[in-house]
Amino acid sequence: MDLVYKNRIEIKDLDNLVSELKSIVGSEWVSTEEADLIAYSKDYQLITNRWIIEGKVPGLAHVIVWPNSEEEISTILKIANKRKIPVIPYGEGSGVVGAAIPVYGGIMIDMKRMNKIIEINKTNLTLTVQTGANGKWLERELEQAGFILGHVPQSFHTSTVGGWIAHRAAGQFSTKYGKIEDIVLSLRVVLPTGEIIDTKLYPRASTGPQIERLFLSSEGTLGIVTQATMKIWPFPEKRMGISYAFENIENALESTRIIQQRQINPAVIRIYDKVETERHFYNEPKAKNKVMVIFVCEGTKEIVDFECSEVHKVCKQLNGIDCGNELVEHWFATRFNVKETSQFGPKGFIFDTIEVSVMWDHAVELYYNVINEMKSVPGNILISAHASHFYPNGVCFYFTFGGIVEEGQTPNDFYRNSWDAAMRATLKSNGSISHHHGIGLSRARWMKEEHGAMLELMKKIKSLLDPNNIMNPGKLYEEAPISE
Amino acid sequence: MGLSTIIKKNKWMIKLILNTKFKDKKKIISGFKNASQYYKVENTHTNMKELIKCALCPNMCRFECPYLRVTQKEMYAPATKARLTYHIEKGELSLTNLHNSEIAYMCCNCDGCRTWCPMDISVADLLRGVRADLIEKNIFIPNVKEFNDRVLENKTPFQLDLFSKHIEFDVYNENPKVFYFCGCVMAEKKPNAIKANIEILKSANVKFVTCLNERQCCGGPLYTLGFDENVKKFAEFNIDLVRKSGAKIIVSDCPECVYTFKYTYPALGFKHKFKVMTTAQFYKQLIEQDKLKLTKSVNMYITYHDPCITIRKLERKPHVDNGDLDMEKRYSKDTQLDSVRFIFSKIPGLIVKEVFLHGNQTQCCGRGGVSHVHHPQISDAIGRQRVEQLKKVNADKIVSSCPSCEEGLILNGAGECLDIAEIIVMAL
Repeated sequence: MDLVYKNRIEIKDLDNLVSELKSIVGSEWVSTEEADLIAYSKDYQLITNRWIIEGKVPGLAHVIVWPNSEEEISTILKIANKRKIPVIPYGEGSGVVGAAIPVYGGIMIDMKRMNKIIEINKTNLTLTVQTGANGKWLERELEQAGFILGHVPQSFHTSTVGGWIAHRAAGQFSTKYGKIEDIVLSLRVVLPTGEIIDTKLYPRASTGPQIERLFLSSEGTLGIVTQATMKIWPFPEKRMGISYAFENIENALESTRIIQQRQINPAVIRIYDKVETERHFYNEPKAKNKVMVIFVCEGTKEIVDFECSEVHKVCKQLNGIDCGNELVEHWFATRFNVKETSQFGPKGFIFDTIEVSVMWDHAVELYYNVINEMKSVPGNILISAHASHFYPNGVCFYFTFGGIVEEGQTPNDFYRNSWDAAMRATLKSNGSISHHHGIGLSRARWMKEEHGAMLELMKKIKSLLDPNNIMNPGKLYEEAPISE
Repeated sequence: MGLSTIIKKNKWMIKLILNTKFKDKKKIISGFKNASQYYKVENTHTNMKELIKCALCPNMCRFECPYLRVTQKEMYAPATKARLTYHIEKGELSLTNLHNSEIAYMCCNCDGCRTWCPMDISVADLLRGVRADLIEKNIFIPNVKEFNDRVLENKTPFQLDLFSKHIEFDVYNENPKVFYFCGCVMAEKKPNAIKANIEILKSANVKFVTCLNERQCCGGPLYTLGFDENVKKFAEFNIDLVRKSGAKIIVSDCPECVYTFKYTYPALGFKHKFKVMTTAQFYKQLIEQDKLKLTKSVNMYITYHDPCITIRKLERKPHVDNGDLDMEKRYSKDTQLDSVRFIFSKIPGLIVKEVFLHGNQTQCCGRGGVSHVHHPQISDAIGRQRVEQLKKVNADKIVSSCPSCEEGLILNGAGECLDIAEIIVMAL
């Protein structure tokens, strides 16, 4: 099978390395088998799906390791440092920007064995858990204890706590419960050079720069987060769904801006543009040629009742048409369905989603700019958006594109052109190039434009913590070259 | 899904495609036409079209896969298994490496994946096809061929005299209505449950036969492993045996046997008109018809383990390509889940507390997919996880309605696990 990322380093004494690794974690937990290497050759960066059906392997690690403790990880990282071998942490591979692809080969560290709940503290309302834990299992464990995490990304069934932290994730209920950076209180990290550090647990502190926040969004480049203490919440007393259809995206955005700025916090808010409204709510006559907005309010009964009445009030003021709770139930029933790439990938379509954020005063402008810029990419056919996360000061748009490869282009040309169009238009509209999926490979080439001088500072911090650049190289700060 | 629903659902996309330039439309049509190149494999038992769909999914069902949960290795995540076996089927992954072909067996046939799949795909069904393909190429992982040979030789997975040694259970009635088809595992491991079933049937005045002197395995485990040709021999024999008995209804204490009669035999070309039911489904009917009277108090606090096969396979409507999204509608109304709960509700004094994961969220006992034959350690680890969940209920007894589940749970620390018949018989 053809390798896409061909710049795989050469490890001359691989057998010795494998023996060393086996002595650390046990021979059962080290593999160089072909099937294992291919299993870990990709994450869910969507261009990799195209490569699969063409019989190509995105990237190939040299060895897979399944450690079970910080000490084991520390020893592995020390060895990797000594030998200057890349190390790629892996959770459940649902990241969509290629951050877990072993572009230079190296040691793939799968964190899934480290999945234990250390403590549920009912007084502090905190959960301490190892970062290999899967979202859905965590939810099941918490549910039995009477709690929720409030962090439910679409990848919830196929992602780990570590992945959420590495990518600074945001869940569907984030407008109420916060994003992962609001939820995580403290971390345990194995640094690239092998030191194990625990950050202090506090509700808040004024004790110097909060450098532990560096690890949120570090995408495995600054170390391996092995444990986290996070906020949890009691089961909500009441949950209510509301949906409104608006004439246009402007009114829909305005309604959600007002709601947020009046400090009304529905757990879920989602605005679907006309294309996505037709796609998701084809059964609702009131939704025809409209922009649909759904809200989910949950928590204490009195607060939910008040928030719902305020949502109704604002939506009506902006001429929204009340579409009831049924569409919200439909959203609940279908919110984890991911099937378009499966169904249309083999038919030649290439899809992806791109989420960006923007302050309110540029929100409408950004929406139209990105849609138009992506439409101008040859082959792009299906372009739509919804807004999925909301703040008093701005909003996150989540664009979807799908298209076909024009003559004389490779699938990757089409894919990159579409991404570049979205990034260009976002920056032109004063947006930020990622809201919660992260940078990985897909956005690395736009980091300079996004951050300006800050990128150099990030690189300095990276080289300070990881002098040999072993941790997940070729991502975030630079893009590993591809040779399709 | 009807054509009008498909059009309604995809109207948004059709509209966008209609707005494209002529050359793009041509390209799209050729994409649809050429898609088969990616799933075209000669003489395969595997549904390649569904295999590739599964392979391209981000593993949204992975949390429910018992093999993944106990191994924690990515190659055993459902969509990853589909991806790797896709490469195997396409000849892109070497078959001489047993580590590769082993992937096709890393499944306990529980269909937890299908429960959560918006495309209604069962990885178990896909991998079964791959296993059948491997067998045709004479590729076996350890223990599989030996198991097949034993079943062929002894006509059961156990000894040749498995059924005939239980002569006390050989029941004969003239003009029987029911053929009580005992499962092999029940005969080997839980003869008490067979005794209970016979008492229950007799107490309801059901005319039935067991034909133990002539009995053979249903062949279900061989079908799971992919030995399709060998299952045909059992299909022919068993259908003939029931036909000769004159019974019109087959009632089995083993859901695997029920599945085999109901779905596997017809799929292999052995059609029949027998009504096939689990003991629980049949007893529910008898209670409703007031033929089975449960009068004695059974003062017991139990929890019930739903066998995957009863919940997710027996009552599941056939797979639909481009699956109906409404997951709730994928099951028939008369589910095994309802039958069992109905029976429990009719037993005076019995207190049932559900385990946290029950119904269609039930977890495998470890014995599914004949795992104890090809991956005994993983099978036991899966069993231990399920026992741990069941023990959290702190019930007096764990009850189930599948002999393999009962065995798996007992072997992995449940202590005792009663068959539903053993509870019902206490109430007679």
